[in-house]
Amino acid sequence: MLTITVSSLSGGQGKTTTALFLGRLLSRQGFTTLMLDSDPQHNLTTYLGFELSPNQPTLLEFLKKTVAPEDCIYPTQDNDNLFLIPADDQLDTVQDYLSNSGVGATLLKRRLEVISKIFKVCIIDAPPQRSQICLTVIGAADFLIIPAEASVKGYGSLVRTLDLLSGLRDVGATNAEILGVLPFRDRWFGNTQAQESRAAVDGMRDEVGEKLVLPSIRESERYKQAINKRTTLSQLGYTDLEYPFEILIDKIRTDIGSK
Amino acid sequence: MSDNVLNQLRNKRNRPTVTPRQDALLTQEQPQAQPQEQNSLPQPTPVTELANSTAAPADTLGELKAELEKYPQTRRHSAIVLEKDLDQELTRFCKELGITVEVFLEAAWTVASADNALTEKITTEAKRRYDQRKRVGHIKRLITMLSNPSK
Repeated sequence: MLTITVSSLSGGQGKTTTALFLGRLLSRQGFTTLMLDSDPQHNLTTYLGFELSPNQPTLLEFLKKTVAPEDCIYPTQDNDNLFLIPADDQLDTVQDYLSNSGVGATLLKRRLEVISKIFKVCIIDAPPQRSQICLTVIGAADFLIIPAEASVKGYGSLVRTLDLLSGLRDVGATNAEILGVLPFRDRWFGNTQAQESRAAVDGMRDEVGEKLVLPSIRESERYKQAINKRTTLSQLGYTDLEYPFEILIDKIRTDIGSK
Repeated sequence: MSDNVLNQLRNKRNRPTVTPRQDALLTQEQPQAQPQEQNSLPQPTPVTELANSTAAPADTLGELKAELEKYPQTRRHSAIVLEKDLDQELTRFCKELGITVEVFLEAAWTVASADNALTEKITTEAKRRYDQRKRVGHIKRLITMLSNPSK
């Protein structure tokens, strides 16, 4: 199983959007895909159509190992290959557990080992805070996708995320590599890119190098439409907007092959 | 092998429940709502008195709503209204066996009606449920009346 964490240390950077579209496309292309909602705001869980009762197992119980791992994995209505380990607000309470465990950053990786033969890909939607949950989801990752708004805030989010990644690598808590940086809400007027967007994306290229900056997700209402209608962009007829994800999937395909 | 496990996950029906997660800061309205409470339902209160007392309709309404919440919810299932949890259980059970609830009911009646002791047992339980339903209907009516005092 290839574990990919979508992380960026600010809110509104497109983490859930990226995770959702990527998961949907991968599963529709035949990859058995496990989505993991590690944000207590649980938007991914909601977008995938789940409304959990407080007594249904979630990522909290998966991490604490209070029920069997498979009891936390739910099939989605989307398609046969897409599964979810959901979250709710109470996921926040796992912070103490992780910090007291002494192996907080590597705990999720360990928990995922038992199901690693069942799925081809695991996509983790990370929380925006630099919390214990954030550390454990980066610790579990083989690859990191960093979506970042094409703005000053987004650039800052990328820099903070890169700092965290190198800090965790430094202490041996993760071996995650960057799969790509995904500029989000890139604003264009016709053929002209907004000045702030261009400056931010240029900054991102300086940080990680030209090769790792993926084609942008343009500022568009279509993404929200697709999320609300629980469908893909191509099904709504906006195939061109799916381009960044196609490039990502090509990269993932190569990495699955080499794994 | 992994495909078998996937199918198992796809068809997973019996998922264990966990202790309800609670927010430490938000007080839950009904933290004790357990299905076991169904057997120890509160005794009916003198409802005629309540209906006439217009002094504190808000309190009475609240009490009635609270009492109503203690009863199992029902859900319309084709033409039959069944208890919500029981309905889910029965539907799942029949689905797993590849039969419909209707034919299960027919078969259950056929078998039960041939056995006097069993019929007796079933009717006792049915009467208890009937009384409970009547009470729920009564409470709902009272709530409607108290909610629209002008009409």
